[in-house]
Amino acid sequence: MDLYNTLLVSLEMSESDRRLLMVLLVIFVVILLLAGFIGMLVRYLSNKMGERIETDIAEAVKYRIIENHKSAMKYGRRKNARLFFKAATPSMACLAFILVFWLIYSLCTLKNGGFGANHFANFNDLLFKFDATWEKDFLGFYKLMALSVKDYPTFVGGHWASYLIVTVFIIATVYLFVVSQAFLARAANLRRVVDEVYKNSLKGFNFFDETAKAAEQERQNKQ
Amino acid sequence: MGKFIKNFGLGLLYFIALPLLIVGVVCFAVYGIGEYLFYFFKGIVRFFKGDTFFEELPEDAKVKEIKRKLQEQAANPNPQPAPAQQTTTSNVSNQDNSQQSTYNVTNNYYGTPMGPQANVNPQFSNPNPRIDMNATEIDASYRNNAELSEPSFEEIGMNETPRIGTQGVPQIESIDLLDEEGK
Repeated sequence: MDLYNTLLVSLEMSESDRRLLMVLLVIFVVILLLAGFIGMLVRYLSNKMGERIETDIAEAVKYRIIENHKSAMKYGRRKNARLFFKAATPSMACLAFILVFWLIYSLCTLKNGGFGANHFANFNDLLFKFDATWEKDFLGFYKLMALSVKDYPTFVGGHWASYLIVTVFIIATVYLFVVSQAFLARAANLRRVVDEVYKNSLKGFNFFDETAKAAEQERQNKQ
Repeated sequence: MGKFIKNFGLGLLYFIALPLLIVGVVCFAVYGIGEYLFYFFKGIVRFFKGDTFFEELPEDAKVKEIKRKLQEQAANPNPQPAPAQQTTTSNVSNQDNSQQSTYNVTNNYYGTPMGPQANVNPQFSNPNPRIDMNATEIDASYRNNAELSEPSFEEIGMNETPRIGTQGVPQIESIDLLDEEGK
Protein backbone atom coordinates (compact mmCIF):
# COMPACT_ATOMS: atom_id res chain seq x y z
CA MET A 1 0.00 0.00 0.00
CA ASP A 2 2.89 2.27 0.80
CA LEU A 3 4.41 1.52 -2.58
CA TYR A 4 1.13 2.39 -4.28
CA ASN A 5 0.92 5.67 -2.39
CA THR A 6 4.48 6.54 -3.35
CA LEU A 7 4.47 5.58 -7.06
CA LEU A 8 0.77 5.91 -7.70
CA VAL A 9 1.00 2.69 -9.67
CA SER A 10 -0.80 -0.47 -8.87
CA LEU A 11 1.37 -3.54 -9.67
CA GLU A 12 -1.10 -6.33 -9.87
CA MET A 13 -0.01 -9.57 -11.51
CA SER A 14 -1.96 -12.65 -12.13
CA GLU A 15 -0.48 -16.12 -11.56
CA SER A 16 0.26 -16.58 -15.25
CA ASP A 17 2.00 -13.20 -15.41
CA ARG A 18 4.10 -14.18 -12.42
CA ARG A 19 5.10 -17.44 -14.06
CA LEU A 20 5.92 -15.64 -17.30
CA LEU A 21 8.11 -13.18 -15.40
CA MET A 22 9.94 -16.05 -13.72
CA VAL A 23 10.56 -17.75 -17.06
CA LEU A 24 11.84 -14.50 -18.56
CA LEU A 25 14.15 -14.01 -15.61
CA VAL A 26 15.55 -17.52 -15.95
CA ILE A 27 16.09 -16.99 -19.67
CA PHE A 28 17.88 -13.73 -18.96
CA VAL A 29 20.18 -15.40 -16.43
CA VAL A 30 20.91 -18.29 -18.78
CA ILE A 31 21.74 -15.88 -21.61
CA LEU A 32 24.14 -13.97 -19.37
CA LEU A 33 25.77 -17.19 -18.18
CA LEU A 34 26.16 -18.34 -21.76
CA ALA A 35 27.65 -14.98 -22.66
CA GLY A 36 30.09 -15.42 -19.78
CA PHE A 37 31.13 -18.86 -20.93
CA ILE A 38 31.43 -17.75 -24.55
CA GLY A 39 33.49 -14.75 -23.48
CA MET A 40 35.79 -17.00 -21.44
CA LEU A 41 36.14 -19.31 -24.41
CA VAL A 42 36.98 -16.38 -26.67
CA ARG A 43 39.57 -15.16 -24.19
CA TYR A 44 41.10 -18.63 -23.96
CA LEU A 45 41.24 -18.94 -27.75
CA SER A 46 42.68 -15.44 -28.05
CA ASN A 47 45.46 -16.33 -25.63
CA LYS A 48 46.17 -19.50 -27.59
CA MET A 49 46.22 -17.58 -30.87
CA GLY A 50 48.44 -14.91 -29.33
CA GLU A 51 51.04 -17.45 -28.26
CA ARG A 52 51.94 -18.03 -31.90
CA ILE A 53 53.80 -14.74 -32.11
CA GLU A 54 55.95 -15.77 -29.15
CA THR A 55 57.19 -18.86 -30.97
CA ASP A 56 57.92 -16.77 -34.06
CA ILE A 57 60.09 -14.19 -32.34
CA ALA A 58 61.55 -16.51 -29.71
CA GLU A 59 64.74 -17.48 -31.56
CA ALA A 60 65.69 -13.93 -32.47
CA VAL A 61 65.19 -12.89 -28.86
CA LYS A 62 66.96 -15.90 -27.32
CA TYR A 63 70.00 -15.50 -29.57
CA ARG A 64 70.03 -11.85 -28.50
CA ILE A 65 69.80 -10.57 -32.05
CA ILE A 66 67.13 -8.11 -30.95
CA GLU A 67 68.57 -5.81 -28.38
CA ASN A 68 65.86 -3.37 -27.46
CA HIS A 69 62.13 -2.88 -27.08
CA LYS A 70 61.69 -0.86 -30.27
CA SER A 71 63.42 -3.39 -32.53
CA ALA A 72 61.46 -6.21 -30.93
CA MET A 73 58.15 -4.47 -31.56
CA LYS A 74 59.11 -3.72 -35.16
CA TYR A 75 60.22 -7.29 -35.80
CA GLY A 76 57.15 -8.72 -34.08
CA ARG A 77 54.78 -6.49 -36.05
CA ARG A 78 56.33 -7.57 -39.34
CA LYS A 79 56.09 -11.21 -38.31
CA ASN A 80 52.49 -10.71 -37.24
CA ALA A 81 51.61 -9.09 -40.55
CA ARG A 82 53.10 -12.02 -42.44
CA LEU A 83 51.17 -14.49 -40.31
CA PHE A 84 48.01 -12.53 -40.98
CA PHE A 85 48.79 -12.51 -44.69
CA LYS A 86 49.13 -16.27 -44.77
CA ALA A 87 46.03 -16.84 -42.64
CA ALA A 88 43.85 -14.37 -44.53
CA THR A 89 44.82 -15.52 -48.02
CA PRO A 90 42.01 -18.14 -48.36
CA SER A 91 39.30 -15.70 -47.35
CA MET A 92 40.75 -12.93 -49.50
CA ALA A 93 40.96 -15.31 -52.44
CA CYS A 94 37.29 -16.24 -51.91
CA LEU A 95 36.30 -12.58 -51.75
CA ALA A 96 38.28 -11.82 -54.90
CA PHE A 97 36.64 -14.76 -56.65
CA ILE A 98 33.20 -13.56 -55.60
CA LEU A 99 33.96 -10.03 -56.77
CA VAL A 100 35.03 -11.24 -60.19
CA PHE A 101 32.06 -13.59 -60.37
CA TRP A 102 29.66 -10.81 -59.41
CA LEU A 103 31.12 -8.49 -62.05
CA ILE A 104 30.87 -11.11 -64.80
CA TYR A 105 27.39 -12.23 -63.72
CA SER A 106 26.14 -8.65 -63.55
CA LEU A 107 27.53 -7.88 -66.98
CA CYS A 108 25.87 -11.00 -68.38
CA THR A 109 22.48 -10.14 -66.83
CA LEU A 110 22.33 -6.45 -67.60
CA LYS A 111 18.79 -6.85 -69.01
CA ASN A 112 17.55 -8.57 -65.82
CA GLY A 113 18.73 -6.20 -63.16
CA GLY A 114 22.45 -6.51 -63.71
CA PHE A 115 24.38 -4.54 -61.12
CA GLY A 116 21.17 -3.48 -59.37
CA ALA A 117 20.15 -7.01 -58.39
CA ASN A 118 19.71 -7.49 -54.65
CA HIS A 119 21.45 -10.80 -54.04
CA PHE A 120 20.87 -10.70 -50.28
CA ALA A 121 17.11 -10.40 -50.84
CA ASN A 122 17.26 -13.33 -53.22
CA PHE A 123 19.20 -15.32 -50.64
CA ASN A 124 16.26 -14.92 -48.23
CA ASP A 125 14.49 -17.65 -50.21
CA LEU A 126 16.58 -20.13 -48.27
CA LEU A 127 15.52 -18.79 -44.86
CA PHE A 128 12.40 -19.15 -42.75
CA LYS A 129 10.10 -16.15 -42.78
CA PHE A 130 8.06 -15.37 -39.66
CA ASP A 131 4.90 -13.40 -39.36
CA ALA A 132 4.89 -11.48 -36.11
CA THR A 133 2.15 -9.27 -34.74
CA TRP A 134 3.22 -6.50 -32.39
CA GLU A 135 0.99 -4.30 -30.30
CA LYS A 136 1.92 -1.19 -28.42
CA ASP A 137 0.87 -1.19 -24.81
CA PHE A 138 -0.07 1.83 -22.71
CA LEU A 139 3.57 2.36 -21.61
CA GLY A 140 4.81 2.49 -25.22
CA PHE A 141 6.46 -0.93 -25.22
CA TYR A 142 5.84 -3.28 -28.10
CA LYS A 143 4.35 -6.55 -27.12
CA LEU A 144 4.60 -9.65 -29.26
CA MET A 145 1.09 -10.89 -29.73
CA ALA A 146 1.49 -13.65 -32.27
CA LEU A 147 4.31 -15.40 -34.09
CA SER A 148 3.83 -17.79 -36.96
CA VAL A 149 5.89 -19.17 -39.82
CA LYS A 150 5.00 -17.28 -42.96
CA ASP A 151 7.23 -18.97 -45.53
CA TYR A 152 9.38 -22.07 -45.51
CA PRO A 153 12.73 -22.22 -47.29
CA THR A 154 12.35 -22.63 -51.04
CA PHE A 155 14.94 -23.03 -53.74
CA VAL A 156 14.44 -20.75 -56.74
CA GLY A 157 16.54 -21.90 -59.67
CA GLY A 158 16.95 -18.42 -61.11
CA HIS A 159 18.61 -17.21 -57.94
CA TRP A 160 21.48 -19.71 -57.95
CA ALA A 161 24.08 -16.98 -58.44
CA SER A 162 22.75 -15.07 -55.44
CA TYR A 163 22.96 -18.19 -53.29
CA LEU A 164 26.56 -18.77 -54.36
CA ILE A 165 27.63 -15.15 -53.95
CA VAL A 166 26.03 -14.64 -50.54
CA THR A 167 27.11 -18.03 -49.13
CA VAL A 168 30.75 -17.61 -50.13
CA PHE A 169 30.68 -13.97 -49.04
CA ILE A 170 29.37 -14.84 -45.56
CA ILE A 171 31.85 -17.72 -45.07
CA ALA A 172 34.81 -15.62 -46.26
CA THR A 173 33.79 -12.67 -44.11
CA VAL A 174 33.37 -14.77 -40.97
CA TYR A 175 36.72 -16.45 -41.60
CA LEU A 176 38.35 -13.06 -42.14
CA PHE A 177 36.76 -11.85 -38.90
CA VAL A 178 38.23 -14.81 -36.99
CA VAL A 179 41.63 -14.29 -38.58
CA SER A 180 41.50 -10.60 -37.73
CA GLN A 181 40.67 -11.48 -34.16
CA ALA A 182 43.77 -13.69 -34.09
CA PHE A 183 45.75 -10.83 -35.58
CA LEU A 184 44.52 -8.56 -32.79
CA ALA A 185 45.27 -11.20 -30.15
CA ARG A 186 48.83 -11.65 -31.45
CA ALA A 187 49.39 -7.89 -31.49
CA ALA A 188 48.20 -7.62 -27.88
CA ASN A 189 50.31 -10.58 -26.78
CA LEU A 190 53.34 -9.19 -28.61
CA ARG A 191 53.07 -5.93 -26.69
CA ARG A 192 52.70 -7.81 -23.40
CA VAL A 193 55.62 -10.17 -24.02
CA VAL A 194 58.00 -7.52 -25.33
CA ASP A 195 57.20 -5.25 -22.42
CA GLU A 196 58.06 -8.08 -20.08
CA VAL A 197 61.25 -9.21 -21.85
CA TYR A 198 62.72 -5.75 -22.37
CA LYS A 199 61.54 -4.34 -19.07
CA ASN A 200 64.05 -1.95 -17.57
CA SER A 201 62.31 -1.15 -14.36
CA LEU A 202 63.56 0.75 -11.35
CA LYS A 203 60.96 -0.81 -9.10
CA GLY A 204 62.60 -1.88 -5.85
CA PHE A 205 65.85 -0.13 -6.68
CA ASN A 206 67.29 2.39 -4.24
CA PHE A 207 70.24 4.40 -5.43
CA PHE A 208 71.75 4.85 -1.99
CA ASP A 209 71.34 1.21 -1.05
CA GLU A 210 73.28 0.11 -4.09
CA THR A 211 76.01 2.71 -3.64
CA ALA A 212 76.34 1.71 -0.02
CA LYS A 213 76.69 -1.93 -1.04
CA ALA A 214 79.24 -1.04 -3.69
CA ALA A 215 81.24 1.04 -1.22
CA GLU A 216 81.21 -1.82 1.29
CA GLN A 217 82.36 -4.23 -1.40
CA GLU A 218 85.16 -1.91 -2.41
CA ARG A 219 86.28 -1.56 1.19
CA GLN A 220 86.36 -5.32 1.62
CA ASN A 221 88.37 -5.74 -1.57
CA LYS A 222 90.95 -3.27 -0.35
CA GLN A 223 91.35 -5.15 2.93
CA MET B 1 27.87 -20.20 -5.93
CA GLY B 2 30.85 -17.89 -6.18
CA LYS B 3 31.74 -19.29 -9.57
CA PHE B 4 28.15 -18.91 -10.70
CA ILE B 5 28.08 -15.26 -9.69
CA LYS B 6 31.46 -14.70 -11.30
CA ASN B 7 30.27 -16.19 -14.58
CA PHE B 8 27.09 -14.19 -14.36
CA GLY B 9 29.06 -10.98 -13.84
CA LEU B 10 31.46 -11.82 -16.63
CA GLY B 11 28.52 -12.55 -18.90
CA LEU B 12 27.03 -9.19 -18.12
CA LEU B 13 30.39 -7.54 -18.76
CA TYR B 14 30.89 -9.31 -22.06
CA PHE B 15 27.32 -8.57 -23.07
CA ILE B 16 27.95 -4.88 -22.52
CA ALA B 17 31.44 -4.93 -24.04
CA LEU B 18 30.49 -7.02 -27.06
CA PRO B 19 29.69 -4.07 -29.35
CA LEU B 20 32.99 -2.43 -28.44
CA LEU B 21 34.86 -5.68 -29.05
CA ILE B 22 33.21 -6.12 -32.42
CA VAL B 23 34.04 -2.54 -33.40
CA GLY B 24 37.65 -3.10 -32.32
CA VAL B 25 37.98 -6.30 -34.32
CA VAL B 26 36.37 -4.68 -37.37
CA CYS B 27 38.82 -1.76 -37.16
CA PHE B 28 41.71 -4.20 -36.89
CA ALA B 29 40.30 -6.19 -39.82
CA VAL B 30 40.24 -3.02 -41.96
CA TYR B 31 43.82 -2.27 -40.93
CA GLY B 32 44.76 -5.88 -41.65
CA ILE B 33 43.18 -5.75 -45.10
CA GLY B 34 45.18 -2.61 -45.87
CA GLU B 35 48.35 -4.31 -44.72
CA TYR B 36 47.39 -7.42 -46.68
CA LEU B 37 47.03 -5.42 -49.90
CA PHE B 38 50.34 -3.64 -49.24
CA TYR B 39 52.18 -6.95 -48.76
CA PHE B 40 50.34 -8.48 -51.70
CA PHE B 41 51.37 -5.84 -54.24
CA LYS B 42 54.87 -5.62 -52.79
CA GLY B 43 55.17 -9.41 -53.03
CA ILE B 44 53.87 -9.43 -56.60
CA VAL B 45 56.48 -6.87 -57.63
CA ARG B 46 59.19 -8.87 -55.88
CA PHE B 47 57.94 -12.09 -57.47
CA PHE B 48 58.16 -10.69 -61.00
CA LYS B 49 61.61 -9.34 -60.24
CA GLY B 50 62.67 -12.92 -59.58
CA ASP B 51 62.88 -12.65 -55.79
CA THR B 52 60.90 -14.53 -53.19
CA PHE B 53 57.40 -13.27 -52.36
CA PHE B 54 58.46 -12.18 -48.88
CA GLU B 55 61.86 -10.65 -48.35
CA GLU B 56 63.91 -12.36 -45.67
CA LEU B 57 64.06 -10.29 -42.53
CA PRO B 58 67.61 -9.44 -41.39
CA GLU B 59 66.87 -10.93 -37.97
CA ASP B 60 65.79 -14.21 -39.57
CA ALA B 61 68.95 -14.30 -41.66
CA LYS B 62 71.03 -13.89 -38.52
CA VAL B 63 69.08 -16.63 -36.76
CA LYS B 64 69.69 -18.97 -39.69
CA GLU B 65 73.39 -18.19 -39.65
CA ILE B 66 73.64 -18.87 -35.92
CA LYS B 67 71.71 -22.12 -36.22
CA ARG B 68 73.90 -23.24 -39.10
CA LYS B 69 77.02 -22.57 -37.06
CA LEU B 70 75.58 -24.43 -34.09
CA GLN B 71 74.78 -27.40 -36.29
CA GLU B 72 78.30 -27.39 -37.68
CA GLN B 73 79.71 -27.28 -34.18
CA ALA B 74 77.47 -30.14 -33.11
CA ALA B 75 78.59 -32.20 -36.11
CA ASN B 76 82.32 -31.46 -35.56
CA PRO B 77 82.94 -30.84 -31.86
CA ASN B 78 86.76 -30.65 -32.37
CA PRO B 79 87.34 -29.52 -35.91
CA GLN B 80 90.78 -30.54 -37.20
CA PRO B 81 92.58 -28.60 -39.87
CA ALA B 82 91.96 -30.08 -43.28
CA PRO B 83 95.00 -32.02 -44.60
CA ALA B 84 96.80 -30.38 -47.48
CA GLN B 85 95.92 -32.11 -50.70
CA GLN B 86 98.62 -33.18 -53.09
CA THR B 87 98.19 -31.40 -56.30
CA THR B 88 99.75 -32.67 -59.45
CA THR B 89 99.63 -30.81 -62.66
CA SER B 90 99.02 -33.13 -65.50
CA ASN B 91 99.47 -32.37 -69.11
CA VAL B 92 96.59 -34.22 -70.70
CA SER B 93 97.39 -34.72 -74.33
CA ASN B 94 94.49 -34.89 -76.65
CA GLN B 95 94.76 -35.37 -80.33
CA ASP B 96 95.86 -31.79 -80.79
CA ASN B 97 97.80 -31.66 -77.48
CA SER B 98 96.44 -28.23 -76.84
CA GLN B 99 94.39 -28.64 -73.68
CA GLN B 100 95.86 -28.72 -70.20
CA SER B 101 94.04 -29.58 -67.04
CA THR B 102 94.95 -29.69 -63.37
CA TYR B 103 93.60 -32.33 -61.05
CA ASN B 104 94.46 -33.93 -57.76
CA VAL B 105 96.13 -37.29 -57.69
CA THR B 106 96.23 -39.02 -54.34
CA ASN B 107 96.83 -42.64 -55.29
CA ASN B 108 97.85 -44.46 -58.40
CA TYR B 109 96.61 -47.77 -59.72
CA TYR B 110 98.60 -49.73 -57.11
CA GLY B 111 97.35 -47.72 -54.18
CA THR B 112 100.72 -46.19 -53.47
CA PRO B 113 101.40 -42.51 -53.24
CA MET B 114 102.49 -40.84 -56.40
CA GLY B 115 104.68 -37.90 -57.24
CA PRO B 116 106.65 -36.07 -54.57
CA GLN B 117 104.92 -38.11 -51.89
CA ALA B 118 106.79 -41.20 -53.09
CA ASN B 119 110.09 -39.78 -51.83
CA VAL B 120 108.81 -39.00 -48.38
CA ASN B 121 108.86 -42.62 -47.25
CA PRO B 122 111.90 -44.42 -48.60
CA GLN B 123 110.61 -47.89 -47.66
CA PHE B 124 108.20 -47.69 -50.59
CA SER B 125 109.45 -49.62 -53.56
CA ASN B 126 108.26 -48.82 -56.98
CA PRO B 127 106.02 -51.72 -58.01
CA ASN B 128 106.11 -50.77 -61.65
CA PRO B 129 109.54 -49.76 -62.88
CA ARG B 130 108.05 -48.30 -66.02
CA ILE B 131 106.49 -45.47 -64.05
CA ASP B 132 108.75 -42.75 -62.77
CA MET B 133 107.54 -42.19 -59.21
CA ASN B 134 109.40 -38.91 -58.94
CA ALA B 135 107.64 -37.37 -61.88
CA THR B 136 105.49 -34.39 -61.14
CA GLU B 137 104.00 -34.21 -64.58
CA ILE B 138 102.37 -37.09 -66.36
CA ASP B 139 101.55 -37.32 -70.00
CA ALA B 140 98.41 -39.33 -69.74
CA SER B 141 97.78 -39.97 -73.41
CA TYR B 142 98.20 -43.52 -74.64
CA ARG B 143 99.33 -42.44 -78.06
CA ASN B 144 102.31 -40.45 -76.84
CA ASN B 145 103.04 -42.50 -73.76
CA ALA B 146 103.65 -46.18 -74.32
CA GLU B 147 104.39 -46.71 -70.62
CA LEU B 148 100.78 -46.15 -69.72
CA SER B 149 99.40 -48.39 -72.44
CA GLU B 150 98.51 -52.01 -71.76
CA PRO B 151 101.49 -54.47 -71.92
CA SER B 152 101.80 -56.48 -75.10
CA PHE B 153 101.34 -60.27 -75.16
CA GLU B 154 105.07 -60.73 -75.72
CA GLU B 155 105.81 -58.78 -72.56
CA ILE B 156 103.64 -61.03 -70.44
CA GLY B 157 105.05 -64.25 -71.97
CA MET B 158 102.44 -65.12 -74.57
CA ASN B 159 103.72 -65.63 -78.05
CA GLU B 160 100.37 -65.92 -79.75
CA THR B 161 97.22 -64.01 -79.49
CA PRO B 162 94.54 -66.32 -78.00
CA ARG B 163 91.68 -67.06 -80.33
CA ILE B 164 88.35 -68.78 -79.73
CA GLY B 165 88.35 -72.37 -80.87
CA THR B 166 92.07 -72.98 -80.52
CA GLN B 167 93.47 -75.79 -78.44
CA GLY B 168 93.36 -75.37 -74.72
CA VAL B 169 90.46 -73.02 -74.80
CA PRO B 170 87.07 -74.58 -73.99
CA GLN B 171 84.79 -74.50 -76.93
CA ILE B 172 81.07 -74.05 -76.81
CA GLU B 173 79.47 -76.80 -78.84
CA SER B 174 75.80 -76.45 -78.10
CA ILE B 175 73.54 -74.33 -76.04
CA ASP B 176 70.45 -75.82 -74.41
CA LEU B 177 67.72 -73.32 -74.25
CA LEU B 178 64.89 -73.69 -71.78
CA ASP B 179 61.38 -73.61 -73.08
CA GLU B 180 58.71 -71.31 -71.67
CA GLU B 181 57.83 -73.79 -68.93
CA GLY B 182 61.46 -73.94 -67.77
CA LYS B 183 62.02 -77.55 -68.80
